[in-house]
Amino acid sequence: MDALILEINTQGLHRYHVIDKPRTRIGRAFDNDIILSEPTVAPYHLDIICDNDGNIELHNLADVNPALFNGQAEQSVTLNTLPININLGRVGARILLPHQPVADTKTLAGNGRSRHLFSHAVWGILFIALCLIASSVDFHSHSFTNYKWDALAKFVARDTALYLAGLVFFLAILERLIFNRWEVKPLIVVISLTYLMFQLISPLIAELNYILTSHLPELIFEITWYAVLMPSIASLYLIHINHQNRNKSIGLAILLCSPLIILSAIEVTQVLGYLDNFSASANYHRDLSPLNWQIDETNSITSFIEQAQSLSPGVASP
Amino acid sequence: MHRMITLVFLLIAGQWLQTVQALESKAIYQMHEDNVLQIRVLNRETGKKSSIGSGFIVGNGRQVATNFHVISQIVTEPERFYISYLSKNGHSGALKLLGLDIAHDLALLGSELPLGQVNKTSALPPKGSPIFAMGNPHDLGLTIAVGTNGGILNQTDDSRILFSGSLNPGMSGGPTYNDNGEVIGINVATARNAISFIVPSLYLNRLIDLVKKEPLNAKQNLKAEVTQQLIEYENNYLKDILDQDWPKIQLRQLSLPGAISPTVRCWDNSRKLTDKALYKRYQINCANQNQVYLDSRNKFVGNLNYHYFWLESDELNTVQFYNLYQKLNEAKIGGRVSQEVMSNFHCNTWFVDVSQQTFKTSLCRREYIEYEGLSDILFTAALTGHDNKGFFIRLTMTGIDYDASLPLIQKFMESIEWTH
Repeated sequence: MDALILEINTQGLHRYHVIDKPRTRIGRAFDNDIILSEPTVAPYHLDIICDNDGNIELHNLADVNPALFNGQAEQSVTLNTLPININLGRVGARILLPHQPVADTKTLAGNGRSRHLFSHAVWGILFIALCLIASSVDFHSHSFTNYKWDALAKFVARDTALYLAGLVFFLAILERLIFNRWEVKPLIVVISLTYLMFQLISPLIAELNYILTSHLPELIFEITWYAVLMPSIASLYLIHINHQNRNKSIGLAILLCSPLIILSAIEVTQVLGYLDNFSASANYHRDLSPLNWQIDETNSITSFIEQAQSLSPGVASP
Repeated sequence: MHRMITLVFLLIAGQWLQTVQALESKAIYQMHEDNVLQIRVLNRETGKKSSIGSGFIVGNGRQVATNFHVISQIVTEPERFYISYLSKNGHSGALKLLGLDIAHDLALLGSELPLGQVNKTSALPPKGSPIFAMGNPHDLGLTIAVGTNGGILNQTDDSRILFSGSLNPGMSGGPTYNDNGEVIGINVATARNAISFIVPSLYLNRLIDLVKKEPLNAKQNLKAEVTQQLIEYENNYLKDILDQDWPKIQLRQLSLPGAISPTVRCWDNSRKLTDKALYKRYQINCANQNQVYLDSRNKFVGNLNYHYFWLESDELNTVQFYNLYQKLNEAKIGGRVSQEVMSNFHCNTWFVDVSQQTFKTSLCRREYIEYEGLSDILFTAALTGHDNKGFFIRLTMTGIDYDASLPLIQKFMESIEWTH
């Protein structure tokens, strides 16, 4: 008989066994040919009998969690088309010919040794420096009095450096607990890059609000940033730095970002509430812009008054 | 020695004057103690007082004058309350509402039976004359407060007399007499520290005449009546304002409407900035003084306020300047209100050319739920297109007909002039 390959699915790399005997027994007991130490696998779960004609007889031996052959529960089955999918309790496996393709594998970087572009310390230093510069610019542009350098330093240290350091520390600990990995450098780069993006995009969104005379850009940004962009960044990080598979990374990223998603949903609801819910204060469009670009036409006073005549009354709460 | 003699003379003169005044007030009190009543709004279920005020017998002897705000619960919740009087000798009885003058905070009530001697009304005595206010302060019993006539206040649209004497809660609706014991007005409000206000009796006479022709009937929708009177008053008030030439005030590069009515007073409200501030800001606030009482939940309406706010800086860069400008660009109307009383605001924004400058303007309105046709209006306009100069207006009007407010806003904007 020709030798066959038994591929056993595992969380990381799959396990492979060569089946080159006419009869191979699989189970949890030590006297099996292939031992599967898994609580849902019976002591003696499956018999594989191969003949010289290429037929493979499969016999279920388990009372609990009987084996499934290509998704079917059979006591015994003879097959000659490979691969054959087998389920033994929670364990998935395949019987293959040696030349048939197996799952892709690659050698992953060890703990803290990621060779990804963002894993270089120079990027971390560069982005942190950019964050501190962005924070200084933000402080300066919102200062309307003469300030001293120590006030600027205090703001940058407290509102940016400490904030970023805290976030890196928290996420690094989380990463260590969940994945048993310690990837501080890529974490610094990703967090500082995200912070920079936010600092750059926010003023543009405010400008867009003014141009369109609408709160819609702010609203869309709020939703996109927290519900789409942040989970995307997190899942890309999990895929490329922590080598998690795509589906698991997306799920985990959504889970990790869920507090932010919930907070943004609340904020969006509040923004919408300006229009729909009762408010004792008038929430009119009060954004102003130094560029003074607007798509709305400039009206004469008469035209404004004519349009104002059709301003519909406020709506009473139900 | 001369000083000593002068001091003794002044003391004796003071004592003599006090005696004369005490005698006058005593005589007036004795003359009218049976004609001034306590007005009580009673809960139909408990029979207990919900609010109290004062009133006095007028007209045909079965009519009682008081303030609208004393009995306003009858308008808002007629199914829960009724009006009653209590005389000094302990007689009491139910009163019904015969007429209202919302603008002047007056109500005329009627009794089935004659109540006593009618108070005669008279014109206002000269400024500085002694006048005497009677009423039931804090439910403590009938009393008389002595003061002087400060004249009719044009900032209240001639609807108030300044009384330099002390009115207290519970005296509202009571009569104010001249030294002949004739009613010259009706107690209405106090600003404390012996500054009080009285409604001139001529408005009471008008109300009595009106009731003779057209008394309110029991089935009438009182809230609709209140709304109609208020809109009529406010529309006339706005028409008077629009018919006048408005004085101008200069705020940096802008020539702006000043006090657009005798009822409006303008004040500089520029805050002192710290030496470190890299900008200058100037603020002028203008507000009218003739608010009208609506009810216990909405309180006063008829406010007309406008604020001018100028901001400039040679030291801030454009981004810094606009961050500050936007931060300061906010406006509110009054205090807290509940959704049972008011609707939500509805706003819209336009860019408007005013004196060849572009203003970003917003107009908001909200409605009084129980008074259909009354609105609060908020108008704002912010100057755009300058790197280091900012200016905005906030104009608010409360308890007004929305359509009637637009000509005022139009004239307001047309009166703004950019000067180079």
